[in-house]
Amino acid sequence: MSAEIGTGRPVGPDLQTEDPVRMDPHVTAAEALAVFQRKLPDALAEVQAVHHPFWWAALDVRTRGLFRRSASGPVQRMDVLVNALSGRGMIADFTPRGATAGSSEWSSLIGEQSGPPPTRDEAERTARSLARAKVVKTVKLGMGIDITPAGGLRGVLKPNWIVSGGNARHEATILVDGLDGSHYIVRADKAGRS
Amino acid sequence: MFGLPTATVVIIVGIPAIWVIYTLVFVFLSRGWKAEDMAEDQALARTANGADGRDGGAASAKGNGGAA
Amino acid sequence: MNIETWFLVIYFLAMAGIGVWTLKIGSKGSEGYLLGGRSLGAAVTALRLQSSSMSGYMFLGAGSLAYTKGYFSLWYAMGDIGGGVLNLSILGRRMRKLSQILGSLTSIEYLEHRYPSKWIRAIAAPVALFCIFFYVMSQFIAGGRGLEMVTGIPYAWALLIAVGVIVFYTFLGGYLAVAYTDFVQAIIMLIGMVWILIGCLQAVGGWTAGNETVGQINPNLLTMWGPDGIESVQWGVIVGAVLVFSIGYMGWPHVNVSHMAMKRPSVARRASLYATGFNLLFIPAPYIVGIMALILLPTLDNPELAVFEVADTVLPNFAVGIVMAGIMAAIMSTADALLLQSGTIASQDLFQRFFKKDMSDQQSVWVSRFTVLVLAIIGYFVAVNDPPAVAEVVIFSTTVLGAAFVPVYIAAAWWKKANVPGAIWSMIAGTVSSVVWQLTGLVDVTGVDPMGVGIVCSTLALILVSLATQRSHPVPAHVLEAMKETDKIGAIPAHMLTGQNDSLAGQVPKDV
Repeated sequence: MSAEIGTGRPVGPDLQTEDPVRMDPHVTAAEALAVFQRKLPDALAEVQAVHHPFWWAALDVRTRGLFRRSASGPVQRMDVLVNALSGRGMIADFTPRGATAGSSEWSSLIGEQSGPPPTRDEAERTARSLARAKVVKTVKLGMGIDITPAGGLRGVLKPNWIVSGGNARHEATILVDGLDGSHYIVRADKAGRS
Repeated sequence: MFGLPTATVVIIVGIPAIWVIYTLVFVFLSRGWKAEDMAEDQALARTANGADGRDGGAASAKGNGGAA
Repeated sequence: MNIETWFLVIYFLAMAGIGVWTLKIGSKGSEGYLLGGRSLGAAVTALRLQSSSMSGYMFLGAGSLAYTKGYFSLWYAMGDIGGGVLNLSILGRRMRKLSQILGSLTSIEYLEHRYPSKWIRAIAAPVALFCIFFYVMSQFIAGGRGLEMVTGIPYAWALLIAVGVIVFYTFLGGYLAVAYTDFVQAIIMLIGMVWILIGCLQAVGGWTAGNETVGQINPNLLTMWGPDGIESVQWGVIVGAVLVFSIGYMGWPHVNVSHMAMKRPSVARRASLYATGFNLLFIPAPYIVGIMALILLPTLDNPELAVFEVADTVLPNFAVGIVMAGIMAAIMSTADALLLQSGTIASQDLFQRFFKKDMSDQQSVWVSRFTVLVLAIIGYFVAVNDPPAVAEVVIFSTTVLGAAFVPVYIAAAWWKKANVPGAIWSMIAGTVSSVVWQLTGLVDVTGVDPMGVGIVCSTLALILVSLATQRSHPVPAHVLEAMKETDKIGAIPAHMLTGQNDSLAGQVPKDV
């Protein structure tokens, strides 16, 4: 495996994936810049495309009553993404689509982290738990939920934008979500301070 | 005072008074926290309208108790 | 059945009704029912914090300490009054925010997310279970004694009923149900306690007159130095008494979960006002009542019943019934929540985490129920045969929980260098030192309280080990990002923060 970015720590088989999906951003670079400029008016900034690795579990979820053996309710399809570095899961309202990337790109992103990232199994479990939590709405100590994977666990490279720059008063680095345009301020300072 | 030795009165009035002052100071110093409330309300409004599951919890879910 | 018992039954039915009602409305979000949907506002948060920490201790333990030691017992109250605001101001907002960014749903899982390592859970879960067991048992004892006193049923049967109702209530509800009934109960406990206090003071002729009478029994009871006077005062015990319910309180996993359930991070501010206000009214009351009980009930067999017996003496019948009902229900709901917590810890933090990774929903529920039943049975047998004093048990379990967990919870939110080895050794040091100190009787030899020793050991361990292992075990990047995020109020202009998506914190590339 070649490491393209990062420290290039070797990645074990329980963290590899064969054919990660590299999604294209729904938000363009210009739009990302616009988000930045809304926070820092009249700012000059650089926009850089980055990807973040996620595990993607497509799950079919069915509920059943307390005393039934097999599920008879309607099937709900859920796409759950688990952050491959932090282990945090979220339910996506989209199904990841895009070109197939190389597994080396995936491995290099995983290898960046200091400290062990979650394994495939852990990610799978997180995805299931999340799906379960979403479906259960009332507090009963025993309700039947069946979750079956609708396809194996795959890697997804989620696109984000890193926008760095500043105006007369502030300098900032902002992460803009490549899919929904939401932002997160990585750092912000008064201009002139390093 | 109150039929109690002075030391006792000083302690049982003084220490609670310190806590009251601490509480008021804390509430005063943290008045900037309202900004966070606004941020959350906005994020919540957007989540309700648009993409779901941005706040998905990353763990298993059954039967938690918790305080009380 | 006497009037008091009728009120008790009606009250329980009402509480059960609220429990069922909250079950029906359920909750809406995906994290939904686990944490009450993060929908708890300031008043509910504060009062839950308060009522979750009191109940059995206040009505039996505090009264008995006061009856036997006089105003010396108020040192515990001095710490307790500030416990709520201390907890909210130090942990509240940050823990709420950090747990949300890390995606934690239980307070022990939060520890593992913050200090990523299975050992954290492997240590924290058993320690928490151990302490919760003792605390639950103290509530069983309190419930059994209270029921015995109100209804006249013999202790063994009263205890069985109390335990049975608690277990039933546990199986019925979850977090949200527990949250709302607790709120109602906190109000009733407050009204009841204040009423008992007023009635009691009237009966002794006023606070001043009462003090003077107590002074005639033993003037040392009026001092803060103990019934044997200032010469034999143990400063270490005093320090411990103040620490245990002020700082020790921050180590209770079942209390810290409230922070995670706050509606918004800044709920902590208003909640602290409610908490301090409630505490000022409520906390000193059972101690004062216990002291005055020396006058009203000089030949009391069991000092633990001081508050109950005074209530019986000074209040009109119907009032006794309502107040007793409130007290009993409060005791039971505390026990219920602790049991529920222990069931979760056993099934999620221990069983599923270490033994059966692909545990199904059904299995998880059964492990939970099984744990609750086992704890209830063991607790019943210990409580029925030779029940220790409620005060001792509560203080012991709070001490160990405080010593083991306070430094790691505080450092989780405030110290970016706190790492996995530091946290592990801190919990071990705190648990071992406080337990050993207590069990080997070193308290009497040195005059130093296990709480003080435990906290010092665990804090030192955290600091020294974290600093020594910074290079070999650095804090993971996503955790640091999350912590920086919780720092952010004030550092970044508010207008930039509006509308920010916190969950992106885990997607910041390392070299940015």
